Amino acid sequence: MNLTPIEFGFGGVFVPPLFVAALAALLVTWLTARILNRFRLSRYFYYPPLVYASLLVIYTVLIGSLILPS
Amino acid sequence: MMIPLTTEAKEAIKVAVAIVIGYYVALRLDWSQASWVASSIAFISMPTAGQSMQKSFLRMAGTLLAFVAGLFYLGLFPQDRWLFLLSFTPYLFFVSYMVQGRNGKYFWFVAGFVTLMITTAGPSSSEAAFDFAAYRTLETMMGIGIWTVVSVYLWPRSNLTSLKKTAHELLLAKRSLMQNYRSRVCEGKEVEASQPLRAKAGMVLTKLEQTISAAASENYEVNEVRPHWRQLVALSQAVVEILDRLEAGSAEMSGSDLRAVILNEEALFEELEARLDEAGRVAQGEAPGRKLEEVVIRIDPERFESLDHFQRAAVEVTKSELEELDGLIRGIVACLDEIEGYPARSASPDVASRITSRTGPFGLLPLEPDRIRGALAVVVSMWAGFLIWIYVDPPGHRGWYQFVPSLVLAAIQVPFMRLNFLKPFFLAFVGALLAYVFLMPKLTTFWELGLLLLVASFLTAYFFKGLARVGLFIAMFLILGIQNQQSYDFAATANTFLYVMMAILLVTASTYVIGSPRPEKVFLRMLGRFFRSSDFLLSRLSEAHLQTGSGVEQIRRAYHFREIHSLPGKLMRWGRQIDPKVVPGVDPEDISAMLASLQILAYRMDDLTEARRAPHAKLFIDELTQDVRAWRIALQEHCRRWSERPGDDRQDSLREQLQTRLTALDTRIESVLTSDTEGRVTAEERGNLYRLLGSFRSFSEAALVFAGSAEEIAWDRLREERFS
Repeated sequence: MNLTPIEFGFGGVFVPPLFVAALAALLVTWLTARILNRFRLSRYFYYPPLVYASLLVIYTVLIGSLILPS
Repeated sequence: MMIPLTTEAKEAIKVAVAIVIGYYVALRLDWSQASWVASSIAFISMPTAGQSMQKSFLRMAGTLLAFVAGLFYLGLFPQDRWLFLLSFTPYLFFVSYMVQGRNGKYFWFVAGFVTLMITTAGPSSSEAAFDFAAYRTLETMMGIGIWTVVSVYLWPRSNLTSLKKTAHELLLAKRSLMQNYRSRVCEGKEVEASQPLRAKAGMVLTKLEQTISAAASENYEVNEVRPHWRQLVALSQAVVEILDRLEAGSAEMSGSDLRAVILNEEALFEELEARLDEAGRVAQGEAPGRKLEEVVIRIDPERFESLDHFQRAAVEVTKSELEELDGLIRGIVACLDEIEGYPARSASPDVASRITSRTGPFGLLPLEPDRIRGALAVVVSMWAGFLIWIYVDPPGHRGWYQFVPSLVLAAIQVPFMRLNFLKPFFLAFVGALLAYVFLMPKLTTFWELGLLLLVASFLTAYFFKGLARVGLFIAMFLILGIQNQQSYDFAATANTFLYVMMAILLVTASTYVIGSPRPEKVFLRMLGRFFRSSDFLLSRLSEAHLQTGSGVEQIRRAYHFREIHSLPGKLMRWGRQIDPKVVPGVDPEDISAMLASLQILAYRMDDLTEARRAPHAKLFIDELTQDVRAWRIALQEHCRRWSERPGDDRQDSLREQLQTRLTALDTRIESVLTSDTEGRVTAEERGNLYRLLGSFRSFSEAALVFAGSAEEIAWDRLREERFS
């Protein structure tokens, strides 16, 4: 396991991977919510804001651990 | 050659010049935060001198309260963060509650966010806290002084002309409403709907209220007659209300026989219109020249006797409403006489006592649920921000404790504002960041900086309004961080940018914690509250509850009366936010029609309560109580059902039920009156009975209109869950 911290550089500005994962997760969650709204599937959820928050956490973990290098 | 400037351009130049002067003075005197003078100018600058002075006063008073409160709370528990926070919470709750009221909103807003700022200065040393508070107060005063001088000497604008113009507009709006009613109801003509006219009258009333305060701040003469201006506003509101009632009651008065019972309705309206014209002339500076004619409303006794009891009740109700309208228009003429310095030609009715009689002496006591909710949001956001600062300490640090609740304090004043308020802030901060990185390092003298500030402030004040303008000014003051020893730190500024965006996201997310902020959800919740309050108030019409009751009982009544009177307006504002594209099958016009019926229900509830409290003959109480009780309980059941699922009852079946009830009760009244051979019932008691029956019938008719308009709405789509 690589213990050296990894950071993402944008034009000389370094940001942690969790931040990038959270931003990407926000985008994917927003897209998921749009699709669920479009096909009227969101009505099957009891309280969509909680689902939104849960999706955001799940996507952040998935993107952070599976897609981004650690 | 002079270039002609528009009023907007002049105002923007004034703001820009004042901001540059503010920065110059603060930098020259080496004050703590130069941007405080500028921010004071940016946020108090209003189009007219009076409006600016009023806002300046509120800002100054709010800052002084914050100065005292901030140092007091810091001094209470300087070594214990938790006790400090616990003791500070009630203060912030109170301020947040007051921010959402009608008066002094800006004072409470400033008192809230400046106290938060002052208490953040505490951790380093008590001396720093005092310096911080003192500089904040001093620089606010300087900002107010600079803006006052600039606005007085550079293209000054007064409110006086606007006040007279608005008063005249209001009289015209009322005249149009009255003519509309007269043409449609009395003359049976096809005319446009009264809804837009009523909306216009409402807008002019709000404008007049604001202009009165502003004009009174700049003009001694206006300030002297301010109570008469306030009375004019109250009377005008009452006129709009009474015309609403008359129009709603017109269905019960339909039919030529019934309308013909009132002999001189036409003559009354002619006189009322002439009075409004006269008031308009006085408002425009002419001397009073017309005597107010006395019009006594006459009823044709023969025709009246030929009517059934419910028709008589409708005539009685209409007559008393017309008499009330007559008194109100007299009052308006009297108010304008007093305002213009002439002796009043008539006495002015006491409108305030009507409201007090509805709610009792406890009218002001009960807390408003919407405001409690808003105040809770501010307090919770302060605790969340504080915990984030202490235990996570992300970029922004103590700003989380100060900025997040300040943002919520601003947001609760505009309850419809949701994620879309992120966009202007985001764009404003990106723009300010670019200026900070690419322009600021190239500036070496104040004149260069002044030019940048002048251009940026002018563009902001000229092209942007509302939230975008606030966002741009905040971004400018926060990101540019102008000081005498200017240094540049990209990481710190980028962190500020990041933390502001994260704070806004946190605030947005927190709005979902206590119920959904989606307009359709709020709308349904409020509609439920309206019918729950109606159910409660109907239950208080029973014989057992007729006595005044304990203090708690009176507070409960006052609370529910306020609910039914305030909710139709709130529902109207939230109803406009429901997007038909997002919620298909919900037409804004259907919603508007349904809400008009709620307003009428609220008025009818007042009538019912008043009519029920009037003295009634023992004979009627003995003989008719059971029937009236059954009617009331049926209405309560409908209200209970509608509070859960509005739109479930069909109008046709309700109408049938009502008709059956009316016929049965009419026969019953006839037999009771026939049995009164000894003349135990006085004319007054008979009139009171008709008013009570008329009120019950009017309430039922309004409920029918609600049921009919509710049928048009796709309630399932409104209830459906979705992502925002």
